[in-house]
Amino acid sequence: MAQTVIDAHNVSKVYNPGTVPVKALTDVHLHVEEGEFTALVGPSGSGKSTLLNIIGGLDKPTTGNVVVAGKDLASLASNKLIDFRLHHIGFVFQSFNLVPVLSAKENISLVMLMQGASKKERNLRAEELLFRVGMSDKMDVRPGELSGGQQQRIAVARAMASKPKFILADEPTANLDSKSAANLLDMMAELNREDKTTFIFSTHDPRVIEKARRVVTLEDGRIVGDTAKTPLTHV
Amino acid sequence: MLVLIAWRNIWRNKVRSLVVMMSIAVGLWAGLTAMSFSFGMYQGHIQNVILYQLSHIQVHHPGFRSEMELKDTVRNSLELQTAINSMPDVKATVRRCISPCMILAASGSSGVMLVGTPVSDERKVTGLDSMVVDGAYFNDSSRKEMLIGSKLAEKIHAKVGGKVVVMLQDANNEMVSGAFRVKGIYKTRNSAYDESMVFIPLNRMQELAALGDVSNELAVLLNEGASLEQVRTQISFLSHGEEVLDWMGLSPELDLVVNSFDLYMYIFMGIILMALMFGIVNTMLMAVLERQRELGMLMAIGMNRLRIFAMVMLETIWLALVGGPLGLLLGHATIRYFGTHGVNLSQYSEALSRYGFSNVIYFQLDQKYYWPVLLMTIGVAVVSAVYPAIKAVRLEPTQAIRKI
Repeated sequence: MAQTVIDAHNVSKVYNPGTVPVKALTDVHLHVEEGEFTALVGPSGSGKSTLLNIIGGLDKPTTGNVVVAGKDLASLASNKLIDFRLHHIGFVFQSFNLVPVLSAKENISLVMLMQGASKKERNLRAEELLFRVGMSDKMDVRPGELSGGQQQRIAVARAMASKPKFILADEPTANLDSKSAANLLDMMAELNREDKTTFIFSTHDPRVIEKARRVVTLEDGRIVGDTAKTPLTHV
Repeated sequence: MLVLIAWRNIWRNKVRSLVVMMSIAVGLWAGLTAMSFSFGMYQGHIQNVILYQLSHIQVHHPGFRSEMELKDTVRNSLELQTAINSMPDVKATVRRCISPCMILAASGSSGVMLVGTPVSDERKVTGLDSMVVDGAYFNDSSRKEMLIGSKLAEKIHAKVGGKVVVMLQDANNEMVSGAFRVKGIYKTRNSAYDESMVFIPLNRMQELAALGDVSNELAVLLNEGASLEQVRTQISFLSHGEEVLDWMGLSPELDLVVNSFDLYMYIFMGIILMALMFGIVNTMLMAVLERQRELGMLMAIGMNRLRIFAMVMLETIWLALVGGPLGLLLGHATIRYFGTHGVNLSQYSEALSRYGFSNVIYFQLDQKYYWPVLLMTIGVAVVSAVYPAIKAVRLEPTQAIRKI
């Protein structure tokens, strides 16, 4: 039986509650199990990014609670939460957000360094991940010299470096051309299949939605649809 | 890796980092250069005072310096001089008789200090002969001849070959006078000295003041590298209760300059570094604000606040570690160059000589100041980085990531 990695209950988020309240999420329930390849879809402003931020412990819900890998995020103090993210959650951002002064390999190693891995361990895993994302030949290249698609591959490898419970990707293909977006998604799907890495990504790109095996649809901060294309437990 | 990231981060905006590094370097260079100029100027002055006026050590009757009476003589000064001359660290000694007097020339007069000195010993101790700029040094101590300073010559309109009369109180408290011919006019680097000191042969002085073969002062010049304190102690032991003072005791104001230099140095550098601090704060704050998104991302992926804080601090320390040694190097090179060649300020010679300073200033600064100065620079950099670093750790990842 697959392990639950995310359990969000009655999650609501209201921005500016004291002045002009903006409801970003209303009573959201989300249950994600290990090995899922889930897309959060919906138009701009539907609450996708807010939900990802809350699941990722980057933002706090106004009401409700989120349990990630068996831990209630609300119970964690700020520094503990950072440490929790380091060990349990991988992030892929829309704008890649690699450290521009570090090479591809160093960007990947950074996360492991923060985890306290040895140099040998870091080098081995970084090289392995670069190979997995098809970027072995760009090991010593800095992000500025890479294309958007290549940078996002490095970002995925970085997210995987800490061996997280799941990877959150906020519109990972938004800044990519269609070919690069397709390549990236194929790669993510492959990692999901081979390593059982759980991916949850927000998107409104139909090409991305097509690749997802579970699609959670948000509208005006509410989940209005949740469809699984294949049995999740048999990914 | 944080150290590496910090190092690479400072080169993201090369111009800005170079400006900060150069301002640190130029600030240190300016501080060290100014201090070495000042120290060199005072050291030159002290050397002048030691070599041409005070010598390293002087022996007096305990009451002589306050009363300035001819009767207060150094006991057994001849035997004492012989004993001191036999010390290996002693280069030369001279016995002097000294009395305040009035000097009168044909068209002027002035109150001066009359010094009776053995002509050959004075030459060895102060090199007075080499400072004669008009006329000549004594060649016959039996003649009633006098050396006067250039400033005094100007003041009383005395010329070489002209006659002057001195009036003083002799050892018996009788007013006596004597006429002397101006043999030569000397000029030292201290115009106040030139205006107030006149020299005659010792035997002429003893004769005029009704003294026997005694002296009021025994001046001792030491060899280079000799231990001043050790020799002073030895002379104190030999002199049986006479007042034995080194140049610092004789001229406490010079001692104060030397002893308070450390304090001046650190206050001066502190002021320069304080000014630099604002520049560093500004630069680091810009660097943090420009990278809010990246810092937010680092926090999002798990870089804790301590590491973020350390990264910003390290960047600032790197700036100081490049700028600081560069400034020290530039300062050292400047001090070495001007320590050898000196800076010629002869256009200000009038003002400088009034205060006893040389026309050529040789820069000097002990290298012991370099490390504290570098540490002060790093300290200031660390303090400057605290506010930007706090600003960085206070970022909220979600808000920071949204910033373009």
